[in-house]
Amino acid sequence: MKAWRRDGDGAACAMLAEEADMLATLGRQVLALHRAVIDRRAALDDPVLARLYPTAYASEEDAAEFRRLASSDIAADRIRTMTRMVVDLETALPAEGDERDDAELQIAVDAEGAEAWLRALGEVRLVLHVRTGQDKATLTPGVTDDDLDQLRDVVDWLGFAQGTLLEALG
Amino acid sequence: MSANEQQPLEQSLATSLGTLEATDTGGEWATVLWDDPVTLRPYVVRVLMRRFRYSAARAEELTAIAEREGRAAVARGGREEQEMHVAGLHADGLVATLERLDP
Repeated sequence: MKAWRRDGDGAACAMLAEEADMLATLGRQVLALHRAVIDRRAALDDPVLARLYPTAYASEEDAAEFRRLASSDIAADRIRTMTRMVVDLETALPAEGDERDDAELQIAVDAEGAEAWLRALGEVRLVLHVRTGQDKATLTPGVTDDDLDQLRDVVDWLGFAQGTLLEALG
Repeated sequence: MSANEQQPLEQSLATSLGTLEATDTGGEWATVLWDDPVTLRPYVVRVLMRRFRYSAARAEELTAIAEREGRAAVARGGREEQEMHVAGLHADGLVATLERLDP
């Protein structure tokens, strides 16, 4: 992808269709995590969820109460911003069967969209960072070192995307 | 730089966390931001500026304290208000906790 640049009160960038497709897929996976939190079927001892929904109090009792009262609202707010990014990507992607597969996509967001993207890019990056740092025995069986190296490249790519968006917004 | 985008979360939290008020024993609480070596520094600074309306210099300073000391108190006040801040920081992907200042 190319670095974000300022565009009116928002920002714009160009990325390859395969990059947009990958980011949309990752975004949808993170959305599923947040939905699991709302449905109270999230495994809170999972390292990724523990990082995304950290303990708010030293006291276990207060922490559990905070989690009970606030985690659905936090999840819903994250769903709002992640959905914004995923929908922007899906809208920019060529339709199935379209022959412009290797074309660069132009993505432009207004000020509110830029804030949503900033948060969503950081969130996906955080999830992948935690996953790639986990003991391999705790990951899906069959995950190889090459898979993990590829994911680490994605973490770097996301750092570039979020970092240049931050710079563009100033 | 309007706070409007934070409103949906703050409105729903006011309803959810408001139920704590009955047991709120008052006192002063702090919102503590914890160092996070993964998250990009300019992002942390931006979040602090938007949420707490800090100047860039103040937000940079607090971020530097968190990096150096492992943690930084970024706000203080009533419990419910600080819970909103912690929830907002969590939603932004940062690690934050509440601490009572006058035990």
